[in-house]
Amino acid sequence: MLILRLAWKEIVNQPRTSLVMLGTLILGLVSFVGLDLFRGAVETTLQNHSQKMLSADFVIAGRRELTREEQAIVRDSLPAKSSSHLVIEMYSMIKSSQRSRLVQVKAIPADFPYYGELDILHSDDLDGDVCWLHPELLEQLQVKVGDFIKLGNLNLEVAGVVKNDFVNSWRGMTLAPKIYLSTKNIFLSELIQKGSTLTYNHLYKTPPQTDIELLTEVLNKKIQDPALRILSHTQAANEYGQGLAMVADYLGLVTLVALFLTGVGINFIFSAFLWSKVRETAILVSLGLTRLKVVGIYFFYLCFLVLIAWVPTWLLGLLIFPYFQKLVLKILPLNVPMVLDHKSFLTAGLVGLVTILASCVLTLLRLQNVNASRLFDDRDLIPQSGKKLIAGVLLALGLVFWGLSVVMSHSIKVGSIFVASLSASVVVFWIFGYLVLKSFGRLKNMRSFTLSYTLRSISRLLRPNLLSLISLGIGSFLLVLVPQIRISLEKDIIQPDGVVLPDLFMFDIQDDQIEKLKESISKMGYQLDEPSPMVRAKLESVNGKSFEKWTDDQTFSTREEEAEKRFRNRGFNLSFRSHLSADEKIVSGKDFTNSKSGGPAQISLEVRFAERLNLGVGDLLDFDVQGESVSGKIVNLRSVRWSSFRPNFFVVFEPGALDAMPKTYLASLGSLRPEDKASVQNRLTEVFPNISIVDVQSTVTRVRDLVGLMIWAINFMALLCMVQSFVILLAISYQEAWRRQGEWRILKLLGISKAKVIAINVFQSATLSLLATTVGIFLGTLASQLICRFAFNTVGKVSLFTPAVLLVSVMSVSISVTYFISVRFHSRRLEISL
Amino acid sequence: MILKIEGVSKNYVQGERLIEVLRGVDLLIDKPEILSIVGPSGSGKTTLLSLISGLDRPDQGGIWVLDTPLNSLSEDKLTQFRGRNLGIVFQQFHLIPHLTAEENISLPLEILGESEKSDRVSQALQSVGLTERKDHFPHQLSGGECQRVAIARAMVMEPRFILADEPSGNLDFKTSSLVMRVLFELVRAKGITMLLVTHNDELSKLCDRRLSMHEGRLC
Repeated sequence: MLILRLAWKEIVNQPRTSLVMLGTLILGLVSFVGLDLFRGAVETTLQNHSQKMLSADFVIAGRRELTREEQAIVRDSLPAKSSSHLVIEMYSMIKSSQRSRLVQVKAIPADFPYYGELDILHSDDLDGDVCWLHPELLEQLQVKVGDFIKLGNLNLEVAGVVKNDFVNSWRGMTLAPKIYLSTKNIFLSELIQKGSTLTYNHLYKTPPQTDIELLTEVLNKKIQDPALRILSHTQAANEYGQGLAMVADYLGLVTLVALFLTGVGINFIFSAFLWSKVRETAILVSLGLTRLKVVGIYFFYLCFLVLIAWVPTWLLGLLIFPYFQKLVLKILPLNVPMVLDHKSFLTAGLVGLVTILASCVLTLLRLQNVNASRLFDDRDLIPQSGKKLIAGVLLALGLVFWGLSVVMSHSIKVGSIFVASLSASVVVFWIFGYLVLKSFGRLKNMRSFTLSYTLRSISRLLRPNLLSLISLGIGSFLLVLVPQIRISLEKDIIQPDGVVLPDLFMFDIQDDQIEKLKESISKMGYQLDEPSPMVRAKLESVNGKSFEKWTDDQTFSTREEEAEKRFRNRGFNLSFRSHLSADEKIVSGKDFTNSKSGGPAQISLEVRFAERLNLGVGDLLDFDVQGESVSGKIVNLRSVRWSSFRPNFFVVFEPGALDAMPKTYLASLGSLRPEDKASVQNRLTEVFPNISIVDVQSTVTRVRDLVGLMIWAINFMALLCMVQSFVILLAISYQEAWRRQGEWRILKLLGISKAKVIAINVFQSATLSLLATTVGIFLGTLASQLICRFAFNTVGKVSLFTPAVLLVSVMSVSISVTYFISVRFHSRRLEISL
Repeated sequence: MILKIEGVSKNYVQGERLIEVLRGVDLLIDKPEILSIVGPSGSGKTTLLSLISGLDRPDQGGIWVLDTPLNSLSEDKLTQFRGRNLGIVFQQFHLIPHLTAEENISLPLEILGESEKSDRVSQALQSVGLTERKDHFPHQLSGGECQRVAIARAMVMEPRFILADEPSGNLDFKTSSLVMRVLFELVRAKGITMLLVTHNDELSKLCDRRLSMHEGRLC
């Protein structure tokens, strides 16, 4: 009880210190808590709505119909009283009297959906030659209810407008708005031709007690074709939220940086506080209190701080929740309501406790070594710690932080890179800071006293200055890193160097349409880029070993495992050509040769695709192309510039092996005059209703907007980190001003004016912030270039605007903070104990 | 004239009480001498030193130091005047912890932009016998050495007037004797006036004049 009482007294008697520590802790935690609340809410929402989102209990989806055998397997596995229906999805062009547009066609049966709402205005009956449109299509096609649109060779009346469509594609973002029609009509439209890009979704409804996860697991083991995806509603919902989950992962890492900075700040403030109380603790020991109990006082002091901070942190986390909600709505049509549960509340407290204890553990351990005998001779009472103990504790903390990073990012690779990068940044700042600040000591013989005294002080008072440098530097690093990546990506998406983006991208071109298509375009005064063939296949084996579907039942899988699972459980698009495209470059192996040795066909793989499947030059691949076997040997790996928006493929055969296989074509068309684009599109839709046409520019804009949105979210969090850096700077400046009061009094006694003392403080702050920001900007820019090069395979662009703004802002805030603190301290009457 | 104090009074407010610390103090030092002020704790000695050094201002009366009326100087001018003309030695030494002995001593010169007079620093170090310790920091020096550095710092500007507040108060007997001997020798050698506040009777007997302070009055 005594310890608790003393601990509480410390909080009450030191309100300023307690408030500063509380403020630092709350600020560092709020972004973490807000994000945790958001993640929990998204997870809950997805799980609660998963059946509605899929509109079924489970789905078997693929680019082909189920075979009879597969249908029998499913039938035998289903429990009694189950039902199923087929929904077909594909992209196609529709045309009104005035305009044409790419749409996502969704052909549904009469009893659709099993779950969820699909509310239609004006009519809810798809019998007959009718369709329902999403509202934006009315504007885009300039049609209204009762008008007709052309889909394939069908003329359909617009009978209804979709009012509420919770039954969305569980694949998330789509390229185009939706049109609904009956399953019968999609076959009548003759849009479905050999090789058309469409998805057959066999949706199933089972009795309520059915273990869906077990059922889908069984079916996945029985139906091995990776081209067929069998997903329960919860798995489908997870896929739906996949993009969001990735953004949340990166946001999570940024919040970890905020926590790290919080730890740095709290460590400094607590150490300064504790060492100012070391005399009292030595006195307590001399009076009979054990060292453990003395440590216990300050342990409970920290616990009390967490208790006080707990509720405000959680409430503030709730306050930033709406911003996350808005972010989600811009990416997905998913309204995520706030979920207040005990889990997020407990997380806030637990993370707060771990953060504060981890930050202060070394200081608490040091306190155990306080030597009360020094009270007799008034020597320095601040105890030291052994280097081994320090190293051990730091290592343990590092491991904990690494674990947290892996959990937050759901990726061992990303989590490890993050911790390594952060550690490297801290080390670089520390070493650089140490060397530079130490070197200032050599500049002591300057004419100006302000300069010489400041530089000397900076070089001798290393600990607080290095901490300021590190916290400001890391904040600057983050605030430069993200925008620089954004600028590079945007540039690469919108206008990649040396690349002219096409205006239109076409797919589902049939073999026998090529010549006619070229002719039609030629008649309009343009030239079609050479079309690329596409052959659908599935990978049967690699080097003779069967390539199986990935099934697992892990509760926690990393992002890499999830990506690999998705990658393996899919069909492949193959192409063939004799030469590299302008967007490709061989990175290993040799180009196709013309030799007809009679062996397996030559294959070229995209290098990242090869890495994911663990393939290399020399590997043998066997594909099944609609029942026919085709083999090939990898002769080279190549890099591809995907942002050119021209047809490119992961797997390219040499000419000859696939020529006779069923295929469709992709093509691009560029150099259109802006005023001709719409008419060219309309004309092509009229003549070739089965060919889908994507407006590249509007797609690029949408992608860019999405990228921008995600980066905005990450930037927002980075800004919170910067605010945290400033709070730490404020705490350090205040602490230093308080600690150096004696020094300033002496200087004033010796004849230095108040203005000069303030000038020394301000100059010191300006020097440190300039150094910190410059190094942070340099490292952030360098890191962004490396990330663009190795993660996104683009050449990064450097902008000077953001760094310049950041430099000016950081220095202004630092100088202002220091100035006001100095004025506050030095406006007091000079008191000196004579 | 070194020091003239006329009718100086100083009060402090403590809660709701008004405490008269100095009551009509008069003092004149018109030639170089060593003057001691003794008195019990709370008699006003330290307050008097604060007023003379310009760290505080009297409520009534006037103070002239080296023919300069302190009351008429602004805060900045007072600071400059103090730095240039007065040396102060404290009981607690009050050295800058992150500066070496030599740097602490040269600080007054640097502040007033006279750092080229480095020979004065060397002489000051030598006069207190600390040339070999010039690169040591205060935490590496003993109490007596720290006080000697403080004395050298007070002397480096070659002031005409030194104020010393219990300079041996924090030192053991042997060190105290050494330090005070150094201080007295330097002061007498350079013809500096020193006002010494002390409890030490033996020390006060070494001074040219001895005054006592009692309940805010100087006798």
